[in-house]
Amino acid sequence: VPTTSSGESNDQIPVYLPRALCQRAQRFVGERFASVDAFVAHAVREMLAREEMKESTGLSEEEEQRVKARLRALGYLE
Amino acid sequence: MSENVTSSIPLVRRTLTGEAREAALARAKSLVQIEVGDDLAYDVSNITHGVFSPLRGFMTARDCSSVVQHMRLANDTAWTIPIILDVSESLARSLASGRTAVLVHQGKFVALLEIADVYPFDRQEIAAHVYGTLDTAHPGVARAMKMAPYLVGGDLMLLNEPEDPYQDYRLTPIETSLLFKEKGWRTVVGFQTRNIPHLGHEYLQKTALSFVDGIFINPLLGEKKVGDFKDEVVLRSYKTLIEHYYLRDRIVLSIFRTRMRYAGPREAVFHAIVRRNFGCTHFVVGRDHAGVGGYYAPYAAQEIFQHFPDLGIVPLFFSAFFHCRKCGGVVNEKTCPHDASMRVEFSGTRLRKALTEADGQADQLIRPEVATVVREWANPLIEIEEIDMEGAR
Repeated sequence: VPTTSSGESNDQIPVYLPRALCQRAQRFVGERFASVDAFVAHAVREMLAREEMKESTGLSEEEEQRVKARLRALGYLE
Repeated sequence: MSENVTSSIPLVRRTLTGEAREAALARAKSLVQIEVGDDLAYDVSNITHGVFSPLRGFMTARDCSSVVQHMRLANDTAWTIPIILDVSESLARSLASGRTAVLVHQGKFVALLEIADVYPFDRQEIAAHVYGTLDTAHPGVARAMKMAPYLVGGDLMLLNEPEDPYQDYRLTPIETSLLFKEKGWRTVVGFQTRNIPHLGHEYLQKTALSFVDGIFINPLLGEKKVGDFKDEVVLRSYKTLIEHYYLRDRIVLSIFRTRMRYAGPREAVFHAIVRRNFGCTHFVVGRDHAGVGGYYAPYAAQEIFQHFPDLGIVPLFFSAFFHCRKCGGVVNEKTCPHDASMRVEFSGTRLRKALTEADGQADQLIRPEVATVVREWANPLIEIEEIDMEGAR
């Protein structure tokens, strides 16, 4: 029975990196990262999360007032 | 932790208002209807209000398969629990991709579903991957095995909020994010619970709170297993604890309306993603988070986070905690040097004993005000199976 695995998707494409960078990354292949590919995927995901989180959705003034009114009615805001 | 290490992500908001809603309601009368139970109706609300961002609807075959096998959506976004709509074979025959259906809850139109695909699925594959077992004694597996044979995927648009007796305790991510901002909180720790609060929980919450600006206590109210505390008991006991033992400007209590999956590690990540969407910057992950029985290693729910550098929320890992008679208070494995004979563990069995027997050492386990509230119920625990499989049929 497979357990809660974290296997990567098989749908992958090649990406070219400087050889020296790959060799540096190779040192960290082992218990945490199964391969340089896994190491690079981890790093890219971490960076993407930071960038994507900057794209927050704002509220219009009218929406904000409506939300605040409900929060006051429920006792969450004074 | 003075820096706000994360910020809000783009939230999914798929609700209709005004003329657009009126037009959609009129259109809904001519559409194929899919009746849903409470559990699915609350998930519809969660999806359309952004609690499950970035999901815009129930998962398609591609996303479901990717989540089950790789713990990521097909576009690589971290997501560990299938959010799916199951339907009977006869209903599946009346649905087709490209069409729109309307979801009905308690006789009311709740949402439009833009059908992307209708597909059969393998219950055992979901059970094996998501729960790590095929043992039907596991409540999540038992539920998965009872699901209808087809799934329907597609985007949702909310028409009406599902009926909910706890509506006044439900806040949307837009509301919580604004609330945290109004309170001046830059860092917020989220706390997931399905239990009444004992002293161990309070110790854990206040330890986490000491590092951030505020704490978001977010009890899960919904379908749970026999032996768990009833929703009303959990909510009232938390309100009582907060009234007597917390600073009002440092805490927000609001519920998370969904069912427990008991999926251990995977559910811990799911719980963290949801709290990120509510605007939290940190999330407490304790021992055996969302676990049940002995299906998961004690700290598997913490170890799994190493695979997710991209959640946008910082997990705070805590060791097991207990009352130590020698220390005279709540401690954990990292802080108490005394042997096991000094420990009073916060187990469910001991807690129930403390609440029902005069010499049950209740004072070492639970606040007296909370104990008083819980004792108002002849039986505060769920006694019969709550699984509602009468939904999408």
